[in-house]
Amino acid sequence: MSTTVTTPAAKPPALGLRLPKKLATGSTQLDIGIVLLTLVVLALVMQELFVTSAMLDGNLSKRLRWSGDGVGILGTDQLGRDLFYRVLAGFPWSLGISGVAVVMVATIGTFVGLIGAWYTGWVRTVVLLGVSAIIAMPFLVLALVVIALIGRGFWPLSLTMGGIAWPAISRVIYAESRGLLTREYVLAARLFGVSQWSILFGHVLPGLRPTILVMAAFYFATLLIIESALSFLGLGAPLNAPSWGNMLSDSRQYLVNAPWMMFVPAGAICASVIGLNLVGDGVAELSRRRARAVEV
Amino acid sequence: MTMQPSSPRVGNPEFLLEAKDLKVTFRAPGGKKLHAVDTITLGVRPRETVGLVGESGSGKSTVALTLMRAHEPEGGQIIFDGQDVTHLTYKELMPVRRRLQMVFQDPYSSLDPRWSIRRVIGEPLRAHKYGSRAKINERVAQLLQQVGLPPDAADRVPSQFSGGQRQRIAVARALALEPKALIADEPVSSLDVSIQAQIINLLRDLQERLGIALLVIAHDLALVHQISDRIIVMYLGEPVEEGPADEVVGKPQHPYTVALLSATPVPEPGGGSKRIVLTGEPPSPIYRPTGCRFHPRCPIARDRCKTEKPPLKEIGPNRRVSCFYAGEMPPPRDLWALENVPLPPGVERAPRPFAVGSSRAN
Repeated sequence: MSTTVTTPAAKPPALGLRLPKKLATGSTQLDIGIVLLTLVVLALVMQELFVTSAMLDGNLSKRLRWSGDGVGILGTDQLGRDLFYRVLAGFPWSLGISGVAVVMVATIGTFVGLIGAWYTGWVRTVVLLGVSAIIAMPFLVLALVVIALIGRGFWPLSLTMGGIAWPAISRVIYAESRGLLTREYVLAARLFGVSQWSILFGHVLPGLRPTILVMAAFYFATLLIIESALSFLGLGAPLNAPSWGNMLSDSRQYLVNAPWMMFVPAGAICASVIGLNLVGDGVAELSRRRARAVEV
Repeated sequence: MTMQPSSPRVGNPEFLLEAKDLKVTFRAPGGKKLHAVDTITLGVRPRETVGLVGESGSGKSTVALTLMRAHEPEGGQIIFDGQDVTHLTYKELMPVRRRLQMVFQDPYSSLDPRWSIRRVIGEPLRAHKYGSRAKINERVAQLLQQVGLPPDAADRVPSQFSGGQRQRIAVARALALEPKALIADEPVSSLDVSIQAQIINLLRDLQERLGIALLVIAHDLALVHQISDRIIVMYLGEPVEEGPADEVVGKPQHPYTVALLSATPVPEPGGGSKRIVLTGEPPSPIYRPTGCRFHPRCPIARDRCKTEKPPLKEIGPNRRVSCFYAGEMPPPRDLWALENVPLPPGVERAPRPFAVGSSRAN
């Protein structure tokens, strides 16, 4: 029997996305996105380490100042609170709420999508109908109703957003999983008698990883905006909390006299959202490139 | 061994794998029925190789997948090792799957591109609780050696291998649980011609060494002839001719078999004899022709063929054909003349015509 086996001596391609390694060769947008997100994370760490509650107290004698003695680099708001510290303190609020929500969205969305793809018959019908029913309702209105019922605050807000935003991801995961489930290696696994969960977690879920990562990045950004919108409407974080939505809401009345009150939280939102979107795009591109290398 | 003591053996005791009046139907758009297989009866003895031949759409792959219970048959019986497996559940099938395995057509899609070879070959072992991780790794190494791959292949991923090597990996995976029977669905048709011989030889080798029963499905009659003891020719979901390999190829009785044979290129100066080119596409399995299914394309069809369906009738020991005018169409050329074609140096002549290479040659 012939045994002249020649195999390329190259190392196996990276399984999983090793972002730091890919930085140099990755896309420009991924680089910019990562820089932006690094700044965001840095800000998050800084506020954890340095911002004390005393720094967040207001000083009415210094209200609505942009510069001057004892005023921080980003000015003060209508109660004389330092906006620099306040916007930093907003990171855990805004990113935390949407972060918890996005984890929920990705988990529930993936799980439900997989269930819908695996089963046929009434289970699939129920899943698809349920998903469509939730998608059919306007997101903000639904969120407003739920929050009005269960109250506001960090956890109610994040759980509500996570609880109603997942169906869109389910749809994508469902479609993609159905494609993956028709692959011959899945059929082979079934003919070996591999269990349903081993197939779903061993073959299908790893194939979904790029999609989940990309969707999560985009949803993180979307949820961040929705959180700000809800806070802006007065239904998000508690009134005193330094959430960016609250800060925007406050700034509305002082737009002419103190425009920085709007620009500071808006800048934070923009940086985070653009960063997340760029990272999402970059990851998508990288996984496409990798797919080309893998699928031959 | 894995049967309940209460269940007696069923089916023909001669056969390891048996299909009786197997019928598979799919739903086509518009509530129509697509008759993929209608009907086939076949049996594979232990240590025997049976070739199932037909053009694409003839239902040969459906037969394979139905025998593996990936499709539900509409009628008929599947018997494996004396046990009726037609209606067993996924869980009840586990002990059957251990002894009946399959190799797929396309090694580019039958191996998960994200998995290491160790994980790929170990998959059936893990599913059947073969043993500890060390024991599985040991078995994987043994299998790699059996199919002629280096031990360090275990840590690579499928994309680092050529098509032929991937098919070896797929064969190793199918052999992992030491099956008694192996179904190979077009095992070489996605490979280069030069690689095809290697895989065919590998299958033949392994069969001799491990004594497994093989059901090989292919569209290439010459190739199937090279490894099969018996051949079944399928057309539009049903067998039209079957018999010992040499007889089916040497003395084809059904005009369809003759046409298939004439499509095989002849490595001879002058190109052999003229080819019988079948006109038209194979008919749709949704709207099947009346009478003999082959009559619209048959060069020797007569009026009777349009209305009356020829039965599959016995014309000799183990030899069946479904044609009213069996043997009337002459073979296109002297098929055995191939024996006189010189072979490249170092290649031994296989004991049959249409040899691609012998198992010991390379």
